[in-house]
Amino acid sequence: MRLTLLTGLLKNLKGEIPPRMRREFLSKADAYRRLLEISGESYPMESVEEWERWVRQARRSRTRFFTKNNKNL
Amino acid sequence: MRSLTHHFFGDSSLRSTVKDECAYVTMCSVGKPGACWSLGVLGRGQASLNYIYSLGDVVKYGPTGSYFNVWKGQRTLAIGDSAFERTFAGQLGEAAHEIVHAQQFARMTARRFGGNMSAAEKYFFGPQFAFGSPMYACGERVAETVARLRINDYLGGMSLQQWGASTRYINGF
Repeated sequence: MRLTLLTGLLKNLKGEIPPRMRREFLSKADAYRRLLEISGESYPMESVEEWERWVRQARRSRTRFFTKNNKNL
Repeated sequence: MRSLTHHFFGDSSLRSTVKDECAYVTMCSVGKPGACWSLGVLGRGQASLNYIYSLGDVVKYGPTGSYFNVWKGQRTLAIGDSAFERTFAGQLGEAAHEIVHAQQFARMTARRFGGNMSAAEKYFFGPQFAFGSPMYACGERVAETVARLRINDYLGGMSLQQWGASTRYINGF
């Protein structure tokens, strides 16, 4: 599925991706951990709105996450 | 009038929906270089279909979106609603993207696991390829890059908007 990183992580955090989508599915805890890693933020797992706000900002700034300089990964 | 899938599969597939048929047609169109969109030319369409069925055991319409999946040895290629809402090029691009994933799986099965699909399935959908991992990102970038080159070649060019949308997807990882 053509799912961008941020959209996919957000959808997984909300539990919107069914486990049968094996390549795209993550547990909520794993999605949350991955969001913590790439964002450097510390919003709680339940604060979906705060994560949505962060994702919107990251999209606007066109941040790339998988770079050799990203020490969070 | 007989259904499109009837041409391919005979009576056994008459239960398929129009969207199923569109998924077959879309997949077949991008299954091989030079494959035909029109099923009127059944010769080349059949060749594409054979190729698609060497990559996936089930080719269908998937209401939740386009995807490639393997479950207990059954490989599924699906074209979703989002594709049918898009342009012709967008629809083909979505199918081409999933076909590349199917090819990645087929290649890994053959080369790394000597044809052992069960082992390949465990590895391909294992934690190292989990969504959001660097390996997943790598797979997506390759799939999108190859898919858009194929569609660009097949259609004889893509619009700047289509190319840009694809680039945004690649850069999203």
